Amino acid sequence: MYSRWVCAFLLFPTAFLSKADEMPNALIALPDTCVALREGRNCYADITLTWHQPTFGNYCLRDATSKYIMQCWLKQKEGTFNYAFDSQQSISFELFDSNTSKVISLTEVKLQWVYQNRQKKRRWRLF
Amino acid sequence: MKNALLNYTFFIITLLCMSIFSTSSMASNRYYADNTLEPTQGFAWDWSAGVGYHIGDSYLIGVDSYDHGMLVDLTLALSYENFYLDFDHNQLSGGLVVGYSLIDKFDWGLDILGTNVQSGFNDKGLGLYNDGIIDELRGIKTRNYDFDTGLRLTRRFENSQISFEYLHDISGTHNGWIVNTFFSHILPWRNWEFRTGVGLSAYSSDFTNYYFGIDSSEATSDRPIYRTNASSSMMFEFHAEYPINQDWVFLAGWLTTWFSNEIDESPIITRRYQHQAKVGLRYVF
Repeated sequence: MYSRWVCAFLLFPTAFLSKADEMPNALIALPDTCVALREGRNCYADITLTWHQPTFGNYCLRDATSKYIMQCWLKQKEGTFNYAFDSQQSISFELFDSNTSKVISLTEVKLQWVYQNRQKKRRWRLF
Repeated sequence: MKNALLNYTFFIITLLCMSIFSTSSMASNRYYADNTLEPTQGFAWDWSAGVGYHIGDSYLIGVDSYDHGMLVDLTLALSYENFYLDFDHNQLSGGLVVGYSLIDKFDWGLDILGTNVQSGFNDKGLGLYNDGIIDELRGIKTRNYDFDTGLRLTRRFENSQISFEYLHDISGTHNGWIVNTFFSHILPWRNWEFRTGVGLSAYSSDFTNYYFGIDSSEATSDRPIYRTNASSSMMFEFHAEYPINQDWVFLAGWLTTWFSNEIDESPIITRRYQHQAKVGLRYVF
């Protein structure tokens, strides 16, 4: 009976560990993917970032790479931020406790594209 | 004999150009190009399959003035170093383009290319929808697809480019020449891509008479013998694409072509213009 769980733990240890020290889905980006037509072009999407915490506190949302703070909430346990995605690459966001600077949750908006070949278009036939 | 000599001369000139001007740069070399993008290095390819709804008012006499239906759309685009190949199978863009970039410097490009210019047709029309024999076209000879090779000179701007082409039929279909000029512009707006183009073309008398002339064996009381001179056409097109997700693309397009008197006055031509429109979905592999 327990051997199944032991095997699962050995195969996927991070799945168990991450649940222990991080609240699942504390920060959600919807949609979590932006699709551009061609590789190399900026992708545009209206992203809604939603977060939930079990306790009231002071929290901030920032760009995980540049550390640019987008919004902070005082004495809240949930929040929503509308983000205008405009980028040539994926962007990660993180929610952190502004009192301790500890990162609570991380999410990413992935960039995808349809056409790899950037030289493909030609004109239509005449008739 | 004269045509064979022309073809031979053209082939020699082309080989000379290839040997003298061949470069390894890989900027854009198509009719449409977003020259703000960094060109793909090495081997790159895209292929897609889709289905679309097409409507068009055919220029051929007897064909339904609002011909419409669902059509399969297959495309393949390959690039490797200076070589490129586009296969696009739908009635707005159908055909094959094989090209090689000879010169690509200072926003100018010179390409050698081979392509089909004119779709073939017979007494069943263009054969898009498998219609039966059209009474008004009954008895005409089959006009075959041509295959033309030649040179294209292109001047690139950021999202625009202008091209000049000289092509000559090497398939023996009409043994004529075609001169094309084409100005195109790509406008990305958010995740949409809009493309517009305006073109002006001239066709030799051999080309015009092969496709639109009527010889004595085809002539009837309603379809007199028709011989004419070189002809021309002008076209405008608009195309839009939008990525639904990583694999699916929505597309819509409009194409209008106006023909000169030499084509319009042919007994098998019903009007001097043609409009075509299409909406569809494409799966990109």
